[in-house]
Amino acid sequence: MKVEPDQVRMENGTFIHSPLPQSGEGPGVRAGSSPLPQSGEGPGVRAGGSSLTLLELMARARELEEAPISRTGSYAPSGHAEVTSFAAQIAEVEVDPETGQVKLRKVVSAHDVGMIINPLTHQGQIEGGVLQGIGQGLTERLIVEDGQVTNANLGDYKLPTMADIPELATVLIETKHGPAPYEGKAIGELSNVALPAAIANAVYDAVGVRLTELPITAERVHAALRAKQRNAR
Amino acid sequence: MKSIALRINGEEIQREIPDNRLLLDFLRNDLDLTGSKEGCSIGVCGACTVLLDGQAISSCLALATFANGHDVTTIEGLAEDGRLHPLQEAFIDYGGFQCGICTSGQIMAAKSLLDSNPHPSEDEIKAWMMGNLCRCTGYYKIIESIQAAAEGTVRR
Repeated sequence: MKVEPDQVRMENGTFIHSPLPQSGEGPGVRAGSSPLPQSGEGPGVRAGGSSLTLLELMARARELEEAPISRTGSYAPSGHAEVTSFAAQIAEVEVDPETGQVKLRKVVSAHDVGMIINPLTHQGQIEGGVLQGIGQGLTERLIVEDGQVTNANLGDYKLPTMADIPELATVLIETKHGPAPYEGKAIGELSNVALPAAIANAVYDAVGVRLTELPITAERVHAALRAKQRNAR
Repeated sequence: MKSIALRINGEEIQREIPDNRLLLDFLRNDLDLTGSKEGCSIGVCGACTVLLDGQAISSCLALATFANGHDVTTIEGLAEDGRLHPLQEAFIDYGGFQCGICTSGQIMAAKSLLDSNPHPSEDEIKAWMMGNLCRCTGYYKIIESIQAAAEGTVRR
Protein backbone atom coordinates (compact mmCIF):
# COMPACT_ATOMS: atom_id res chain seq x y z
CA MET A 1 0.00 0.00 0.00
CA LYS A 2 3.11 2.20 -0.08
CA VAL A 3 2.47 3.36 3.45
CA GLU A 4 5.19 3.81 6.01
CA PRO A 5 4.56 1.70 9.13
CA ASP A 6 4.86 4.72 11.40
CA GLN A 7 1.98 6.36 9.57
CA VAL A 8 -0.41 3.57 10.50
CA ARG A 9 -2.18 3.47 13.81
CA MET A 10 -5.00 1.47 15.22
CA GLU A 11 -8.17 3.11 16.40
CA ASN A 12 -11.36 1.35 17.51
CA GLY A 13 -10.16 -1.87 15.99
CA THR A 14 -9.43 -0.35 12.59
CA PHE A 15 -6.11 0.48 10.99
CA ILE A 16 -5.95 4.12 10.04
CA HIS A 17 -3.40 5.68 7.75
CA SER A 18 -2.64 9.06 9.14
CA PRO A 19 0.43 10.36 10.86
CA LEU A 20 -0.19 11.77 14.32
CA PRO A 21 -0.36 15.55 14.08
CA GLN A 22 2.89 17.28 14.85
CA SER A 23 2.62 20.12 17.33
CA GLY A 24 1.58 23.35 15.68
CA GLU A 25 0.36 21.55 12.59
CA GLY A 26 -3.14 20.85 11.40
CA PRO A 27 -6.41 21.03 13.27
CA GLY A 28 -5.50 18.59 16.05
CA VAL A 29 -6.43 19.69 19.52
CA ARG A 30 -4.52 18.36 22.45
CA ALA A 31 -6.06 18.24 25.87
CA GLY A 32 -3.83 17.60 28.79
CA SER A 33 -0.79 17.07 26.62
CA SER A 34 2.73 17.54 27.80
CA PRO A 35 4.03 19.92 29.03
CA LEU A 36 1.54 20.21 31.86
CA PRO A 37 -0.34 23.49 32.01
CA GLN A 38 1.08 26.11 34.32
CA SER A 39 -0.50 26.12 37.76
CA GLY A 40 -3.54 28.36 37.91
CA GLU A 41 -4.39 27.82 34.25
CA GLY A 42 -6.21 24.54 34.75
CA PRO A 43 -6.54 21.98 31.98
CA GLY A 44 -5.79 23.61 28.66
CA VAL A 45 -6.37 23.05 24.98
CA ARG A 46 -4.08 24.18 22.22
CA ALA A 47 -5.07 24.38 18.57
CA GLY A 48 -2.80 25.76 15.95
CA GLY A 49 -1.19 28.85 17.42
CA SER A 50 -3.81 29.81 20.01
CA SER A 51 -4.75 28.28 23.32
CA LEU A 52 -7.84 28.16 25.50
CA THR A 53 -8.48 26.74 28.92
CA LEU A 54 -11.02 23.94 28.96
CA LEU A 55 -13.50 26.24 30.70
CA GLU A 56 -13.11 28.86 27.95
CA LEU A 57 -13.50 26.19 25.32
CA MET A 58 -16.70 24.88 26.91
CA ALA A 59 -18.12 28.40 27.18
CA ARG A 60 -17.24 29.07 23.55
CA ALA A 61 -18.84 25.81 22.43
CA ARG A 62 -22.01 26.69 24.28
CA GLU A 63 -22.11 30.11 22.61
CA LEU A 64 -21.73 28.49 19.22
CA GLU A 65 -24.19 25.75 20.13
CA GLU A 66 -21.69 23.27 18.82
CA ALA A 67 -21.42 21.16 21.93
CA PRO A 68 -20.70 18.38 22.54
CA ILE A 69 -17.13 18.83 21.43
CA SER A 70 -15.07 15.83 20.63
CA ARG A 71 -11.37 15.77 19.86
CA THR A 72 -8.55 13.33 20.09
CA GLY A 73 -5.68 14.03 22.43
CA SER A 74 -2.42 12.30 23.06
CA TYR A 75 -0.11 12.12 25.99
CA ALA A 76 3.28 10.54 26.35
CA PRO A 77 4.55 9.95 29.87
CA SER A 78 7.77 11.89 30.22
CA GLY A 79 9.52 9.33 32.39
CA HIS A 80 9.03 6.31 34.56
CA ALA A 81 7.53 6.84 37.97
CA GLU A 82 9.16 4.64 40.60
CA VAL A 83 5.79 3.24 41.65
CA THR A 84 2.87 3.60 39.28
CA SER A 85 0.22 2.01 41.47
CA PHE A 86 0.24 0.26 44.79
CA ALA A 87 -2.45 -1.18 47.01
CA ALA A 88 -2.61 -3.03 50.32
CA GLN A 89 -5.74 -4.89 51.37
CA ILE A 90 -7.03 -6.48 54.55
CA ALA A 91 -9.91 -8.94 54.81
CA GLU A 92 -11.77 -9.85 57.98
CA VAL A 93 -13.64 -13.15 57.81
CA GLU A 94 -15.81 -15.34 59.96
CA VAL A 95 -15.54 -19.07 59.27
CA ASP A 96 -18.04 -21.66 60.44
CA PRO A 97 -15.87 -24.63 61.54
CA GLU A 98 -18.79 -27.03 61.05
CA THR A 99 -19.74 -26.14 57.50
CA GLY A 100 -16.69 -24.29 56.19
CA GLN A 101 -18.87 -21.32 55.26
CA VAL A 102 -16.83 -18.13 54.96
CA LYS A 103 -18.47 -14.82 55.71
CA LEU A 104 -16.53 -11.76 54.65
CA ARG A 105 -17.18 -9.18 57.33
CA LYS A 106 -14.94 -6.29 56.39
CA VAL A 107 -12.47 -5.19 53.74
CA VAL A 108 -9.90 -2.42 54.06
CA SER A 109 -8.48 -1.28 50.76
CA ALA A 110 -5.56 1.16 50.93
CA HIS A 111 -4.24 2.82 47.80
CA ASP A 112 -1.21 4.82 46.87
CA VAL A 113 -2.84 7.20 44.44
CA GLY A 114 -1.74 10.03 42.22
CA MET A 115 -3.73 13.17 41.60
CA ILE A 116 -7.39 12.15 41.83
CA ILE A 117 -9.14 13.80 38.89
CA ASN A 118 -12.71 12.58 39.50
CA PRO A 119 -13.18 11.51 43.13
CA LEU A 120 -16.60 9.94 42.56
CA THR A 121 -15.58 7.64 39.72
CA HIS A 122 -12.18 7.03 41.35
CA GLN A 123 -13.96 5.63 44.40
CA GLY A 124 -16.32 3.75 42.07
CA GLN A 125 -13.36 2.00 40.45
CA ILE A 126 -12.06 0.92 43.85
CA GLU A 127 -15.43 -0.36 45.02
CA GLY A 128 -16.07 -2.21 41.78
CA GLY A 129 -12.63 -3.81 41.94
CA VAL A 130 -13.18 -4.85 45.53
CA LEU A 131 -16.36 -6.64 44.52
CA GLN A 132 -14.56 -8.41 41.69
CA GLY A 133 -11.92 -9.49 44.18
CA ILE A 134 -14.67 -10.82 46.46
CA GLY A 135 -16.20 -12.75 43.60
CA GLN A 136 -12.86 -14.20 42.55
CA GLY A 137 -12.02 -15.03 46.13
CA LEU A 138 -15.28 -16.57 47.27
CA THR A 139 -17.86 -17.40 44.63
CA GLU A 140 -16.90 -17.09 40.97
CA ARG A 141 -15.72 -20.25 39.31
CA LEU A 142 -15.57 -20.89 35.60
CA ILE A 143 -15.86 -24.64 35.14
CA VAL A 144 -14.22 -25.95 31.98
CA GLU A 145 -14.58 -29.59 30.99
CA ASP A 146 -12.88 -30.87 27.82
CA GLY A 147 -12.54 -27.31 26.59
CA GLN A 148 -16.21 -26.52 27.16
CA VAL A 149 -17.39 -23.99 29.70
CA THR A 150 -20.10 -25.89 31.56
CA ASN A 151 -21.46 -23.12 33.76
CA ALA A 152 -22.38 -20.94 30.85
CA ASN A 153 -24.97 -18.73 32.51
CA LEU A 154 -25.24 -16.37 35.45
CA GLY A 155 -27.32 -18.88 37.36
CA ASP A 156 -24.38 -21.26 37.61
CA TYR A 157 -21.57 -18.71 37.64
CA LYS A 158 -22.10 -16.99 40.94
CA LEU A 159 -21.57 -13.25 40.82
CA PRO A 160 -21.76 -11.61 44.24
CA THR A 161 -25.02 -9.75 44.77
CA MET A 162 -25.76 -6.65 46.77
CA ALA A 163 -26.49 -8.92 49.74
CA ASP A 164 -22.91 -10.25 49.65
CA ILE A 165 -20.98 -7.03 50.14
CA PRO A 166 -19.00 -6.49 53.33
CA GLU A 167 -18.30 -3.30 55.19
CA LEU A 168 -15.66 -1.48 53.18
CA ALA A 169 -13.13 1.06 54.39
CA THR A 170 -11.02 2.82 51.79
CA VAL A 171 -7.74 4.53 52.57
CA LEU A 172 -6.31 6.92 49.99
CA ILE A 173 -2.72 8.04 50.28
CA GLU A 174 -2.08 10.73 47.70
CA THR A 175 1.59 10.63 46.80
CA LYS A 176 1.09 12.17 43.34
CA HIS A 177 4.04 11.95 40.91
CA GLY A 178 2.10 9.50 38.78
CA PRO A 179 3.01 8.97 35.13
CA ALA A 180 -0.41 9.99 33.77
CA PRO A 181 -1.52 13.56 33.00
CA TYR A 182 -1.74 15.78 36.10
CA GLU A 183 0.44 13.31 37.99
CA GLY A 184 -2.34 10.73 37.97
CA LYS A 185 -1.91 7.03 38.60
CA ALA A 186 -3.97 4.07 37.46
CA ILE A 187 -6.74 2.93 39.82
CA GLY A 188 -9.04 0.69 37.77
CA GLU A 189 -8.91 -2.97 38.73
CA LEU A 190 -6.09 -2.40 41.18
CA SER A 191 -8.40 -3.21 44.03
CA ASN A 192 -9.21 -6.70 42.76
CA VAL A 193 -5.63 -8.00 42.73
CA ALA A 194 -4.70 -8.64 46.34
CA LEU A 195 -8.12 -9.32 47.81
CA PRO A 196 -8.47 -13.07 47.06
CA ALA A 197 -5.08 -13.61 48.73
CA ALA A 198 -6.10 -11.44 51.67
CA ILE A 199 -9.27 -13.52 52.08
CA ALA A 200 -7.23 -16.76 51.92
CA ASN A 201 -4.85 -15.42 54.57
CA ALA A 202 -7.76 -14.40 56.77
CA VAL A 203 -9.28 -17.89 56.49
CA TYR A 204 -5.90 -19.38 57.47
CA ASP A 205 -5.71 -17.01 60.42
CA ALA A 206 -9.23 -17.94 61.50
CA VAL A 207 -9.21 -21.75 61.24
CA GLY A 208 -5.65 -22.72 60.35
CA VAL A 209 -6.21 -24.18 56.89
CA ARG A 210 -4.35 -22.98 53.84
CA LEU A 211 -6.57 -22.75 50.75
CA THR A 212 -4.52 -22.56 47.58
CA GLU A 213 -7.36 -22.73 45.08
CA LEU A 214 -9.97 -20.12 44.26
CA PRO A 215 -12.78 -19.57 44.90
CA ILE A 216 -12.69 -20.36 48.60
CA THR A 217 -16.01 -22.18 48.83
CA ALA A 218 -17.56 -23.73 51.94
CA GLU A 219 -16.99 -27.14 50.36
CA ARG A 220 -13.26 -26.57 50.00
CA VAL A 221 -12.85 -25.10 53.47
CA HIS A 222 -14.85 -27.97 54.93
CA ALA A 223 -12.68 -30.53 53.12
CA ALA A 224 -9.51 -28.79 54.31
CA LEU A 225 -10.77 -28.71 57.90
CA ARG A 226 -11.61 -32.44 57.81
CA ALA A 227 -8.19 -33.23 56.32
CA LYS A 228 -6.55 -31.24 59.07
CA GLN A 229 -8.55 -33.14 61.74
CA ARG A 230 -7.59 -36.51 60.20
CA ASN A 231 -3.93 -35.54 60.16
CA ALA A 232 -4.08 -34.46 63.81
CA ARG A 233 -5.29 -37.89 64.95
CA MET B 1 -50.38 -13.74 15.73
CA LYS B 2 -52.22 -12.13 18.54
CA SER B 3 -53.61 -8.66 19.04
CA ILE B 4 -52.67 -6.98 22.30
CA ALA B 5 -53.65 -3.65 23.84
CA LEU B 6 -51.76 -2.27 26.79
CA ARG B 7 -50.47 0.95 28.30
CA ILE B 8 -46.74 1.52 28.12
CA ASN B 9 -45.46 4.51 30.06
CA GLY B 10 -49.01 5.88 30.04
CA GLU B 11 -49.46 5.54 26.31
CA GLU B 12 -52.11 3.24 24.82
CA ILE B 13 -50.45 0.76 22.50
CA GLN B 14 -52.10 -1.76 20.20
CA ARG B 15 -50.13 -4.27 18.16
CA GLU B 16 -50.34 -7.55 16.31
CA ILE B 17 -47.56 -9.77 17.58
CA PRO B 18 -46.50 -13.41 17.37
CA ASP B 19 -47.73 -15.39 20.38
CA ASN B 20 -44.20 -16.16 21.47
CA ARG B 21 -42.87 -12.58 21.43
CA LEU B 22 -41.11 -11.85 24.71
CA LEU B 23 -42.07 -8.64 26.49
CA LEU B 24 -38.43 -7.52 26.38
CA ASP B 25 -38.21 -8.06 22.61
CA PHE B 26 -41.56 -6.35 22.13
CA LEU B 27 -40.30 -3.29 24.01
CA ARG B 28 -36.90 -3.17 22.39
CA ASN B 29 -37.52 -4.32 18.84
CA ASP B 30 -41.14 -3.46 18.14
CA LEU B 31 -41.40 -0.23 20.12
CA ASP B 32 -37.76 0.92 20.05
CA LEU B 33 -37.74 1.28 23.83
CA THR B 34 -34.16 0.12 24.16
CA GLY B 35 -33.61 1.33 27.72
CA SER B 36 -34.43 -2.12 29.09
CA LYS B 37 -31.42 -4.36 28.52
CA GLU B 38 -31.00 -8.03 27.87
CA GLY B 39 -28.32 -9.43 30.14
CA CYS B 40 -28.60 -13.13 30.95
CA SER B 41 -31.92 -13.94 29.19
CA ILE B 42 -32.89 -16.33 31.99
CA GLY B 43 -34.19 -14.02 34.71
CA VAL B 44 -31.07 -13.99 36.86
CA CYS B 45 -29.39 -10.65 36.25
CA GLY B 46 -32.24 -8.13 36.45
CA ALA B 47 -31.06 -5.92 33.57
CA CYS B 48 -34.44 -6.27 31.84
CA THR B 49 -36.50 -5.27 34.89
CA VAL B 50 -39.69 -3.34 34.06
CA LEU B 51 -42.81 -2.67 36.09
CA LEU B 52 -46.04 -4.51 35.33
CA ASP B 53 -48.85 -2.76 37.21
CA GLY B 54 -46.15 -1.39 39.51
CA GLN B 55 -44.53 -4.79 40.18
CA ALA B 56 -40.93 -5.39 39.13
CA ILE B 57 -40.69 -8.28 36.68
CA SER B 58 -38.03 -9.71 34.39
CA SER B 59 -39.26 -8.80 30.93
CA CYS B 60 -37.00 -11.48 29.41
CA LEU B 61 -39.16 -14.14 31.06
CA ALA B 62 -42.58 -12.66 30.29
CA LEU B 63 -44.47 -13.05 27.05
CA ALA B 64 -45.74 -9.78 25.66
CA THR B 65 -49.25 -11.25 25.63
CA PHE B 66 -48.91 -11.62 29.40
CA ALA B 67 -48.96 -7.80 29.59
CA ASN B 68 -52.15 -7.56 27.52
CA GLY B 69 -54.52 -5.12 29.24
CA HIS B 70 -51.93 -4.08 31.81
CA ASP B 71 -49.73 -1.09 32.61
CA VAL B 72 -46.05 -1.41 31.79
CA THR B 73 -43.49 1.13 32.96
CA THR B 74 -39.98 1.16 31.54
CA ILE B 75 -37.01 3.39 32.27
CA GLU B 76 -38.18 5.67 29.45
CA GLY B 77 -41.35 6.39 31.42
CA LEU B 78 -39.75 7.75 34.60
CA ALA B 79 -38.85 11.28 33.58
CA GLU B 80 -41.69 13.78 33.83
CA ASP B 81 -41.96 17.16 32.12
CA GLY B 82 -38.36 16.94 30.97
CA ARG B 83 -37.12 16.29 34.51
CA LEU B 84 -35.43 13.08 35.48
CA HIS B 85 -36.93 10.94 38.23
CA PRO B 86 -35.23 11.49 41.64
CA LEU B 87 -33.77 7.97 41.38
CA GLN B 88 -32.22 8.82 38.03
CA GLU B 89 -30.81 12.05 39.46
CA ALA B 90 -29.46 10.18 42.46
CA PHE B 91 -27.74 7.52 40.33
CA ILE B 92 -25.98 10.32 38.45
CA ASP B 93 -25.02 12.31 41.53
CA TYR B 94 -23.87 9.37 43.63
CA GLY B 95 -22.13 7.37 40.93
CA GLY B 96 -24.70 4.57 40.97
CA PHE B 97 -23.54 3.32 37.58
CA GLN B 98 -20.34 2.84 35.62
CA CYS B 99 -20.75 0.85 32.41
CA GLY B 100 -24.53 1.28 32.60
CA ILE B 101 -25.86 -2.03 31.29
CA CYS B 102 -27.55 -2.93 34.59
CA THR B 103 -28.65 0.61 35.40
CA SER B 104 -32.15 0.78 33.95
CA GLY B 105 -32.95 -2.50 35.67
CA GLN B 106 -31.45 -1.29 38.94
CA ILE B 107 -33.49 1.92 38.80
CA MET B 108 -36.74 0.12 37.95
CA ALA B 109 -36.20 -2.38 40.78
CA ALA B 110 -35.38 0.49 43.14
CA LYS B 111 -38.52 2.33 42.05
CA SER B 112 -40.69 -0.65 42.88
CA LEU B 113 -38.95 -0.80 46.27
CA LEU B 114 -39.49 2.88 47.09
CA ASP B 115 -43.08 2.76 45.84
CA SER B 116 -43.87 0.03 48.36
CA ASN B 117 -41.41 1.07 51.08
CA PRO B 118 -40.45 4.75 50.81
CA HIS B 119 -37.82 4.63 53.56
CA PRO B 120 -36.11 1.25 53.43
CA SER B 121 -33.26 0.31 55.75
CA GLU B 122 -29.92 -0.68 54.21
CA ASP B 123 -30.72 -4.34 54.83
CA GLU B 124 -34.11 -3.96 53.16
CA ILE B 125 -32.43 -2.36 50.14
CA LYS B 126 -29.93 -5.23 49.93
CA ALA B 127 -32.62 -7.90 50.26
CA TRP B 128 -34.78 -6.26 47.59
CA MET B 129 -32.01 -5.46 45.14
CA MET B 130 -30.08 -8.73 45.26
CA GLY B 131 -31.86 -9.84 42.09
CA ASN B 132 -30.14 -7.10 40.12
CA LEU B 133 -26.54 -7.97 39.36
CA CYS B 134 -23.81 -5.43 38.70
CA ARG B 135 -20.33 -6.26 37.53
CA CYS B 136 -18.57 -2.96 37.95
CA THR B 137 -19.87 -0.61 40.67
CA GLY B 138 -19.47 -2.92 43.63
CA TYR B 139 -23.06 -1.99 44.66
CA TYR B 140 -22.00 0.49 47.35
CA LYS B 141 -22.90 3.53 45.28
CA ILE B 142 -26.15 1.96 44.13
CA ILE B 143 -27.17 1.69 47.79
CA GLU B 144 -26.12 5.31 48.39
CA SER B 145 -28.10 6.41 45.34
CA ILE B 146 -31.26 4.66 46.52
CA GLN B 147 -30.85 6.06 50.02
CA ALA B 148 -30.35 9.56 48.61
CA ALA B 149 -33.48 9.27 46.48
CA ALA B 150 -35.45 7.94 49.47
CA GLU B 151 -34.24 10.70 51.75
CA GLY B 152 -34.75 13.41 49.13
CA THR B 153 -31.11 14.46 49.42
CA VAL B 154 -30.34 14.41 45.73
CA ARG B 155 -27.70 17.07 45.34
CA ARG B 156 -28.67 18.91 42.21
